[in-house]
Amino acid sequence: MEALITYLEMDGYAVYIWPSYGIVALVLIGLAVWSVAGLRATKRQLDLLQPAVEARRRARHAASTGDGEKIAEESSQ
Amino acid sequence: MADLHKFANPNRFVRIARAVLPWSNIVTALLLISGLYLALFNSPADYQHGQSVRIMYVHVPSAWMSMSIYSFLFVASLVALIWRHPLAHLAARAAAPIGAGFTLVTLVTGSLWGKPGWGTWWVWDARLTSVLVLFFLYLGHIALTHAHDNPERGAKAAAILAIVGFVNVPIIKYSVDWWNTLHQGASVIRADGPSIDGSMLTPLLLMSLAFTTYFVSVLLIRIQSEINARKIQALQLSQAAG
Repeated sequence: MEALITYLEMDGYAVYIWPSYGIVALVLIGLAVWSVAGLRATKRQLDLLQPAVEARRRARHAASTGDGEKIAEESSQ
Repeated sequence: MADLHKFANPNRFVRIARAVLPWSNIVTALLLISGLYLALFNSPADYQHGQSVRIMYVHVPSAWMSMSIYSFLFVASLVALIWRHPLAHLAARAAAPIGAGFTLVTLVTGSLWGKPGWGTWWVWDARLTSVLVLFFLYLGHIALTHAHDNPERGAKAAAILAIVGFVNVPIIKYSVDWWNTLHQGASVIRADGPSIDGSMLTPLLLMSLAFTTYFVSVLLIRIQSEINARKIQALQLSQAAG
């Protein structure tokens, strides 16, 4: 235990060394978490938007080719 | 340029990014563990700095990253403006916050190392001031990319800032040679080879490699986010158009 305390004290430089490693951990972990959260959020939004836009596109295409009622029936099921 | 345009297809890029990401994560973890072990437990105290030399193992790699990422920003901006590579603006936008993070770490750890070494937290000398300018350049880049409703215009303005601001990178590197500064000169990247002992050089290089692979991982994640954001914008526009 005493050896651990001596090590952590770093000959009196602990007050400079540990905050240095602390800020590195804070910034690097913070950036990684923020980036992963951003990717997940955009994926979620994309998963919600893509089917809706696709469905609308198919309906429009079907309407223009005369299959509108069939598509509308399919999508209501 | 033909090779570069192979990665222009966003879907292709995402496939490559997904394949590379697990490996870059594993390599980052291994390098960080070995680098931190050597830096904190298995390297000697310095004859001048004492135990405070352990700050070097995070301060110097962060400083190298802050300049390398800005150089990446410069190249990406050139590629975006000259060859109009579709992913170059996204890569620059994704890299800027990581560069700002490393520059912030450089400034804070430098200050924490400066107090026991020089007796002061901060001094307005050439090296410290030019790194502070680098931090503001990153903040300016981030602000410009978000300043316009039209992302293309914001990206273009930010690219111009990145190119003009690149002049600061050699100033940072050579500031300790061109001016009298409190900051010490280069001890690793020197014409006559590193002047630093091998027992300190190994953890320093391991930490530098760890920060580099960390950058690759986070950059790949952020570029994928940017690609998704562009797709969302396009879908919303097509929805609004009916």
